[in-house]
Amino acid sequence: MAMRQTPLTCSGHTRPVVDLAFSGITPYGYFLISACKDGKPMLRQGDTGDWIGTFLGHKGAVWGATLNKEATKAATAAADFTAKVWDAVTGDEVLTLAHKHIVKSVNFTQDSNFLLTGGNDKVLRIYDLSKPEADPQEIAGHTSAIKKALWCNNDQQILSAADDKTIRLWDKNTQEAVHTLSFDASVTSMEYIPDGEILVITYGRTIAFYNAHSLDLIKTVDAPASIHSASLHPEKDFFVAGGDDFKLYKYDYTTKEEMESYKGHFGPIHTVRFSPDGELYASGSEDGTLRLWQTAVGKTYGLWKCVLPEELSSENSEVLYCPPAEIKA
Amino acid sequence: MSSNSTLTAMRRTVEQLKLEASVERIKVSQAAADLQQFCLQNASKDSLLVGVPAASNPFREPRSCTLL
Repeated sequence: MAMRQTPLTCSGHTRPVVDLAFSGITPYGYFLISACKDGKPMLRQGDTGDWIGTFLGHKGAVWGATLNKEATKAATAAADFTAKVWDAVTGDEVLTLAHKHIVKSVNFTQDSNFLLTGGNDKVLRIYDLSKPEADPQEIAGHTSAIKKALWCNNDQQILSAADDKTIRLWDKNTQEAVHTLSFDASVTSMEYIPDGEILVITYGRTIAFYNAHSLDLIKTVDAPASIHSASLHPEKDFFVAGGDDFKLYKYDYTTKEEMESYKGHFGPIHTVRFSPDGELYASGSEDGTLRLWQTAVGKTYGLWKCVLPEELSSENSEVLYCPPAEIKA
Repeated sequence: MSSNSTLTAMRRTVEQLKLEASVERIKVSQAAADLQQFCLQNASKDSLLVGVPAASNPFREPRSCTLL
Protein backbone atom coordinates (compact mmCIF):
# COMPACT_ATOMS: atom_id res chain seq x y z
CA MET A 1 0.00 0.00 0.00
CA ALA A 2 2.02 2.96 -1.24
CA MET A 3 0.73 6.31 -0.12
CA ARG A 4 2.43 9.41 -1.34
CA GLN A 5 4.06 11.45 1.40
CA THR A 6 2.89 15.06 1.26
CA PRO A 7 5.08 17.15 3.55
CA LEU A 8 3.87 20.36 5.14
CA THR A 9 6.14 23.14 3.99
CA CYS A 10 6.67 25.92 6.51
CA SER A 11 8.00 29.07 4.93
CA GLY A 12 8.87 32.34 6.59
CA HIS A 13 12.60 32.21 7.07
CA THR A 14 14.64 34.13 4.54
CA ARG A 15 17.95 32.32 4.97
CA PRO A 16 19.03 28.70 5.62
CA VAL A 17 17.53 26.93 8.61
CA VAL A 18 20.41 25.48 10.61
CA ASP A 19 18.87 24.03 13.74
CA LEU A 20 15.50 23.00 15.09
CA ALA A 21 14.20 21.61 18.36
CA PHE A 22 10.88 20.32 19.66
CA SER A 23 9.51 20.92 23.14
CA GLY A 24 8.00 18.14 25.21
CA ILE A 25 4.27 17.40 25.04
CA THR A 26 2.39 20.12 26.88
CA PRO A 27 -1.35 20.56 27.57
CA TYR A 28 -1.37 22.82 24.49
CA GLY A 29 0.28 20.26 22.24
CA TYR A 30 3.96 20.45 21.36
CA PHE A 31 6.01 23.18 19.78
CA LEU A 32 9.00 23.60 17.57
CA ILE A 33 11.64 26.32 17.36
CA SER A 34 13.82 26.90 14.30
CA ALA A 35 17.19 28.67 14.21
CA CYS A 36 18.00 30.54 11.03
CA LYS A 37 20.87 32.49 9.56
CA ASP A 38 18.48 35.44 9.16
CA GLY A 39 18.80 36.02 12.92
CA LYS A 40 15.08 35.55 13.60
CA PRO A 41 14.27 32.25 15.30
CA MET A 42 10.62 31.21 14.96
CA LEU A 43 8.26 29.35 17.22
CA ARG A 44 5.73 27.08 15.52
CA GLN A 45 2.92 24.78 16.57
CA GLY A 46 4.58 21.35 16.40
CA ASP A 47 1.84 19.28 14.79
CA THR A 48 0.63 21.74 12.16
CA GLY A 49 3.65 23.96 11.49
CA ASP A 50 1.55 27.08 12.11
CA TRP A 51 3.71 30.08 12.88
CA ILE A 52 3.16 31.36 16.40
CA GLY A 53 5.84 34.02 16.76
CA THR A 54 9.34 35.20 15.93
CA PHE A 55 11.89 36.08 18.58
CA LEU A 56 13.35 39.45 17.66
CA GLY A 57 16.57 40.69 19.16
CA HIS A 58 19.58 38.86 17.79
CA LYS A 59 21.92 40.86 15.57
CA GLY A 60 23.48 37.95 13.76
CA ALA A 61 22.80 34.47 12.40
CA VAL A 62 21.19 32.20 14.98
CA TRP A 63 23.07 28.90 15.03
CA GLY A 64 21.24 27.02 17.77
CA ALA A 65 17.79 27.12 19.30
CA THR A 66 16.04 25.06 21.93
CA LEU A 67 12.84 24.96 23.96
CA ASN A 68 12.42 23.69 27.48
CA LYS A 69 10.18 20.68 28.10
CA GLU A 70 7.09 22.76 28.97
CA ALA A 71 7.65 25.15 26.03
CA THR A 72 7.61 28.10 28.42
CA LYS A 73 11.20 29.14 27.77
CA ALA A 74 13.33 29.29 24.66
CA ALA A 75 17.06 29.75 24.27
CA THR A 76 19.04 30.73 21.21
CA ALA A 77 22.75 30.85 20.30
CA ALA A 78 23.92 33.38 17.76
CA ALA A 79 26.79 34.80 15.77
CA ASP A 80 26.44 38.10 17.63
CA PHE A 81 28.44 36.46 20.45
CA THR A 82 25.38 36.11 22.70
CA ALA A 83 23.04 33.42 23.85
CA LYS A 84 19.56 34.66 24.74
CA VAL A 85 16.84 33.21 26.92
CA TRP A 86 13.27 34.08 25.94
CA ASP A 87 9.82 33.78 27.44
CA ALA A 88 8.23 31.45 24.89
CA VAL A 89 4.71 32.51 25.84
CA THR A 90 5.10 36.26 25.36
CA GLY A 91 8.12 36.33 23.05
CA ASP A 92 10.00 38.68 25.36
CA GLU A 93 13.75 38.51 25.69
CA VAL A 94 14.45 37.51 29.29
CA LEU A 95 18.22 37.24 29.40
CA THR A 96 21.22 38.03 27.21
CA LEU A 97 24.37 36.08 28.02
CA ALA A 98 27.48 37.64 26.52
CA HIS A 99 30.20 35.35 25.17
CA LYS A 100 33.61 35.94 23.67
CA HIS A 101 32.85 34.36 20.31
CA ILE A 102 30.06 32.90 18.17
CA VAL A 103 27.76 30.73 20.27
CA LYS A 104 26.66 27.56 18.49
CA SER A 105 24.64 25.47 20.90
CA VAL A 106 22.25 25.92 23.82
CA ASN A 107 20.50 23.29 25.95
CA PHE A 108 18.21 23.47 29.02
CA THR A 109 18.31 20.95 31.88
CA GLN A 110 15.10 18.97 32.48
CA ASP A 111 14.03 21.41 35.22
CA SER A 112 14.91 24.43 33.02
CA ASN A 113 17.09 25.85 35.79
CA PHE A 114 20.42 25.62 34.03
CA LEU A 115 21.48 26.53 30.52
CA LEU A 116 24.46 24.94 28.81
CA THR A 117 26.17 26.90 26.04
CA GLY A 118 29.00 26.05 23.68
CA GLY A 119 30.57 27.83 20.75
CA ASN A 120 33.62 28.95 18.87
CA ASP A 121 35.54 29.98 21.98
CA LYS A 122 35.94 26.24 22.74
CA VAL A 123 34.55 26.56 26.28
CA LEU A 124 31.39 24.99 27.68
CA ARG A 125 29.45 27.24 30.01
CA ILE A 126 26.74 26.42 32.52
CA TYR A 127 24.50 29.30 33.55
CA ASP A 128 22.32 29.16 36.64
CA LEU A 129 19.14 30.83 35.39
CA SER A 130 18.03 31.70 38.91
CA LYS A 131 21.26 33.72 39.36
CA PRO A 132 21.87 35.17 35.90
CA GLU A 133 24.39 37.82 36.99
CA ALA A 134 26.65 35.21 38.54
CA ASP A 135 29.54 33.94 36.45
CA PRO A 136 28.87 30.70 34.62
CA GLN A 137 30.68 27.49 35.44
CA GLU A 138 33.23 26.95 32.67
CA ILE A 139 34.53 23.67 31.28
CA ALA A 140 37.49 23.90 28.93
CA GLY A 141 39.25 21.13 27.06
CA HIS A 142 38.18 21.11 23.46
CA THR A 143 40.87 22.29 21.09
CA SER A 144 38.54 23.80 18.53
CA ALA A 145 35.06 25.23 18.13
CA ILE A 146 32.23 23.40 19.88
CA LYS A 147 29.40 22.51 17.57
CA LYS A 148 26.88 20.94 19.93
CA ALA A 149 26.59 20.64 23.70
CA LEU A 150 23.92 18.55 25.43
CA TRP A 151 22.96 17.61 28.97
CA CYS A 152 22.73 13.88 29.50
CA ASN A 153 22.43 11.13 32.09
CA ASN A 154 19.90 12.96 34.20
CA ASP A 155 21.66 16.33 33.72
CA GLN A 156 24.69 15.03 35.64
CA GLN A 157 26.88 14.81 32.58
CA ILE A 158 27.51 16.86 29.47
CA LEU A 159 28.17 15.66 25.94
CA SER A 160 29.97 17.99 23.58
CA ALA A 161 30.95 17.62 19.93
CA ALA A 162 33.59 19.90 18.44
CA ASP A 163 35.49 20.61 15.24
CA ASP A 164 38.52 18.93 16.81
CA LYS A 165 36.79 15.70 15.67
CA THR A 166 36.11 14.55 19.22
CA ILE A 167 33.04 14.02 21.31
CA ARG A 168 33.65 14.33 25.02
CA LEU A 169 31.53 13.23 27.94
CA TRP A 170 32.07 15.47 30.96
CA ASP A 171 31.00 15.13 34.56
CA LYS A 172 29.18 18.32 35.54
CA ASN A 173 30.54 18.37 39.09
CA THR A 174 34.20 17.45 38.59
CA GLN A 175 34.30 19.24 35.22
CA GLU A 176 36.51 16.49 33.90
CA ALA A 177 36.23 14.53 30.69
CA VAL A 178 35.08 11.04 31.59
CA HIS A 179 35.20 9.65 28.04
CA THR A 180 36.43 10.89 24.69
CA LEU A 181 35.49 9.59 21.26
CA SER A 182 37.72 10.45 18.32
CA PHE A 183 36.72 10.40 14.69
CA ASP A 184 38.41 10.80 11.34
CA ALA A 185 35.88 13.31 10.17
CA SER A 186 34.11 16.22 11.76
CA VAL A 187 30.92 15.26 13.59
CA THR A 188 28.00 16.99 11.88
CA SER A 189 25.27 16.40 14.42
CA MET A 190 24.48 14.82 17.76
CA GLU A 191 21.20 13.83 19.40
CA TYR A 192 20.67 12.38 22.86
CA ILE A 193 17.73 10.05 23.62
CA PRO A 194 17.32 9.95 27.43
CA ASP A 195 14.90 7.02 27.38
CA GLY A 196 17.26 4.26 26.35
CA GLU A 197 20.44 6.32 26.81
CA ILE A 198 21.27 6.39 23.12
CA LEU A 199 23.47 8.93 21.40
CA VAL A 200 22.92 9.52 17.66
CA ILE A 201 25.93 10.94 15.84
CA THR A 202 26.48 11.76 12.19
CA TYR A 203 29.77 12.22 10.37
CA GLY A 204 30.60 11.86 6.67
CA ARG A 205 28.01 9.45 5.25
CA THR A 206 27.64 7.57 8.53
CA ILE A 207 24.95 7.60 11.17
CA ALA A 208 26.30 6.04 14.37
CA PHE A 209 24.54 4.99 17.55
CA TYR A 210 26.38 4.91 20.86
CA ASN A 211 25.55 4.10 24.45
CA ALA A 212 25.37 7.48 26.18
CA HIS A 213 26.93 6.25 29.43
CA SER A 214 29.88 4.21 28.27
CA LEU A 215 30.21 5.68 24.78
CA ASP A 216 30.33 2.13 23.44
CA LEU A 217 29.38 1.80 19.79
CA ILE A 218 25.99 0.14 19.24
CA LYS A 219 25.85 0.23 15.44
CA THR A 220 26.62 2.32 12.37
CA VAL A 221 24.68 2.78 9.15
CA ASP A 222 26.00 4.26 5.93
CA ALA A 223 23.90 6.50 3.71
CA PRO A 224 24.19 7.22 -0.03
CA ALA A 225 25.25 10.80 0.60
CA SER A 226 26.94 13.00 3.16
CA ILE A 227 24.62 13.28 6.16
CA HIS A 228 24.24 16.46 8.20
CA SER A 229 21.70 15.35 10.75
CA ALA A 230 19.81 12.30 11.98
CA SER A 231 17.12 11.57 14.53
CA LEU A 232 15.93 8.37 16.18
CA HIS A 233 12.21 7.68 16.66
CA PRO A 234 11.11 7.71 20.35
CA GLU A 235 10.07 4.03 20.07
CA LYS A 236 13.40 3.28 18.37
CA ASP A 237 11.79 1.57 15.38
CA PHE A 238 13.28 3.87 12.81
CA PHE A 239 15.55 6.81 12.32
CA VAL A 240 15.63 9.53 9.70
CA ALA A 241 18.61 11.29 8.21
CA GLY A 242 19.18 14.10 5.74
CA GLY A 243 22.16 15.76 4.15
CA ASP A 244 23.80 17.00 1.00
CA ASP A 245 21.61 15.33 -1.64
CA PHE A 246 18.48 17.23 -0.47
CA LYS A 247 16.72 13.94 0.33
CA LEU A 248 15.38 12.63 3.59
CA TYR A 249 16.13 8.96 4.29
CA LYS A 250 14.15 6.71 6.61
CA TYR A 251 15.81 3.57 7.95
CA ASP A 252 14.67 0.65 10.05
CA TYR A 253 16.73 0.90 13.25
CA THR A 254 16.81 -2.85 13.94
CA THR A 255 17.68 -4.10 10.46
CA LYS A 256 19.57 -0.98 9.29
CA GLU A 257 17.73 -1.20 5.98
CA GLU A 258 16.79 1.89 4.05
CA MET A 259 12.99 1.97 3.98
CA GLU A 260 12.11 5.17 2.13
CA SER A 261 13.61 8.32 0.82
CA TYR A 262 11.79 11.55 0.17
CA LYS A 263 12.58 14.44 -2.11
CA GLY A 264 11.15 17.86 -1.44
CA HIS A 265 13.77 20.24 -0.20
CA PHE A 266 15.60 22.48 -2.66
CA GLY A 267 18.81 22.56 -0.72
CA PRO A 268 20.96 20.44 1.63
CA ILE A 269 19.20 19.40 4.80
CA HIS A 270 20.88 20.81 7.90
CA THR A 271 18.73 19.43 10.68
CA VAL A 272 16.10 16.73 11.29
CA ARG A 273 14.24 15.92 14.48
CA PHE A 274 11.40 13.59 15.42
CA SER A 275 8.47 15.11 17.30
CA PRO A 276 8.06 14.02 20.94
CA ASP A 277 5.13 11.74 20.03
CA GLY A 278 7.00 10.29 17.05
CA GLU A 279 4.11 11.00 14.66
CA LEU A 280 6.09 13.34 12.46
CA TYR A 281 9.61 14.58 11.87
CA ALA A 282 10.73 18.05 10.87
CA SER A 283 13.61 18.93 8.56
CA GLY A 284 15.31 22.30 8.15
CA SER A 285 17.20 23.11 4.98
CA GLU A 286 19.49 25.49 3.16
CA ASP A 287 16.40 26.45 1.11
CA GLY A 288 15.03 28.33 4.13
CA THR A 289 12.03 26.10 4.70
CA LEU A 290 11.05 23.59 7.33
CA ARG A 291 9.15 20.53 6.19
CA LEU A 292 7.04 18.30 8.41
CA TRP A 293 6.87 14.67 7.30
CA GLN A 294 4.52 11.96 8.52
CA THR A 295 6.05 8.90 10.16
CA ALA A 296 3.04 6.78 9.26
CA VAL A 297 2.15 8.05 5.80
CA GLY A 298 -1.59 8.06 5.25
CA LYS A 299 -2.54 8.39 8.88
CA THR A 300 -4.97 11.15 9.80
CA TYR A 301 -2.99 13.45 12.09
CA GLY A 302 -2.60 17.20 12.44
CA LEU A 303 -3.38 18.73 9.06
CA TRP A 304 -3.12 15.41 7.22
CA LYS A 305 -6.30 13.55 6.42
CA CYS A 306 -6.52 10.33 4.51
CA VAL A 307 -8.92 10.61 1.61
CA LEU A 308 -9.94 7.54 -0.34
CA PRO A 309 -10.55 7.97 -4.10
CA GLU A 310 -14.34 7.70 -3.67
CA GLU A 311 -14.47 10.85 -1.58
CA LEU A 312 -13.15 13.55 -3.84
CA SER A 313 -13.90 16.53 -1.66
CA SER A 314 -11.84 17.31 1.36
CA GLU A 315 -11.34 20.42 3.40
CA ASN A 316 -8.79 21.37 5.99
CA SER A 317 -6.31 18.77 4.90
CA GLU A 318 -3.66 17.68 2.51
CA VAL A 319 -5.19 15.15 0.17
CA LEU A 320 -3.22 11.95 0.03
CA TYR A 321 -3.10 9.85 -3.07
CA CYS A 322 -4.44 6.38 -2.40
CA PRO A 323 -3.48 3.10 -4.11
CA PRO A 324 -4.38 2.93 -7.82
CA ALA A 325 -6.11 -0.43 -7.32
CA GLU A 326 -8.99 1.31 -5.54
CA ILE A 327 -9.67 3.94 -8.17
CA LYS A 328 -12.80 3.27 -10.19
CA ALA A 329 -12.77 4.22 -13.83
CA MET B 1 14.17 71.30 16.45
CA SER B 2 15.23 67.73 15.92
CA SER B 3 13.86 66.53 19.28
CA ASN B 4 10.41 67.72 18.26
CA SER B 5 10.51 65.89 14.93
CA THR B 6 11.78 62.65 16.51
CA LEU B 7 8.97 62.96 19.04
CA THR B 8 6.36 63.23 16.28
CA ALA B 9 8.07 60.44 14.33
CA MET B 10 7.97 58.26 17.46
CA ARG B 11 4.29 59.10 18.03
CA ARG B 12 3.50 58.12 14.44
CA THR B 13 5.39 54.85 14.93
CA VAL B 14 3.40 54.11 18.09
CA GLU B 15 0.12 54.78 16.29
CA GLN B 16 1.18 52.54 13.40
CA LEU B 17 2.20 49.76 15.80
CA LYS B 18 -1.12 50.07 17.64
CA LEU B 19 -2.95 49.61 14.33
CA GLU B 20 -0.80 46.61 13.43
CA ALA B 21 -1.27 44.99 16.84
CA SER B 22 -5.06 45.24 16.61
CA VAL B 23 -5.27 43.43 13.25
CA GLU B 24 -7.22 40.18 13.50
CA ARG B 25 -4.96 37.17 13.10
CA ILE B 26 -5.69 33.53 12.42
CA LYS B 27 -3.42 30.53 12.02
CA VAL B 28 -1.92 29.86 8.60
CA SER B 29 -3.52 26.40 8.45
CA GLN B 30 -6.91 27.95 9.14
CA ALA B 31 -6.32 30.69 6.54
CA ALA B 32 -5.26 28.10 3.96
CA ALA B 33 -8.39 26.04 4.65
CA ASP B 34 -10.63 29.13 4.41
CA LEU B 35 -9.03 30.20 1.12
CA GLN B 36 -9.48 26.74 -0.35
CA GLN B 37 -13.13 26.62 0.73
CA PHE B 38 -13.83 30.12 -0.65
CA CYS B 39 -12.32 29.26 -4.01
CA LEU B 40 -14.30 26.03 -4.30
CA GLN B 41 -17.57 27.65 -3.24
CA ASN B 42 -17.19 30.58 -5.64
CA ALA B 43 -15.84 28.59 -8.55
CA SER B 44 -19.01 29.21 -10.58
CA LYS B 45 -18.48 32.97 -10.35
CA ASP B 46 -14.83 32.81 -11.30
CA SER B 47 -14.32 34.28 -14.79
CA LEU B 48 -11.00 32.52 -15.18
CA LEU B 49 -12.70 29.16 -14.74
CA VAL B 50 -16.08 29.76 -16.29
CA GLY B 51 -15.24 32.25 -19.00
CA VAL B 52 -16.78 35.60 -19.86
CA PRO B 53 -19.78 35.83 -22.26
CA ALA B 54 -18.57 37.43 -25.50
CA ALA B 55 -21.11 40.23 -25.30
CA SER B 56 -19.73 41.75 -22.10
CA ASN B 57 -16.07 41.06 -22.80
CA PRO B 58 -14.31 44.43 -23.31
CA PHE B 59 -11.29 42.68 -24.77
CA ARG B 60 -13.00 40.64 -27.47
CA GLU B 61 -11.68 40.78 -31.01
CA PRO B 62 -13.04 43.96 -32.60
CA ARG B 63 -15.41 43.22 -35.46
CA SER B 64 -15.31 45.78 -38.19
CA CYS B 65 -18.33 48.03 -38.47
CA THR B 66 -19.80 48.62 -41.91
CA LEU B 67 -21.11 52.05 -42.56
CA LEU B 68 -24.17 52.27 -44.71
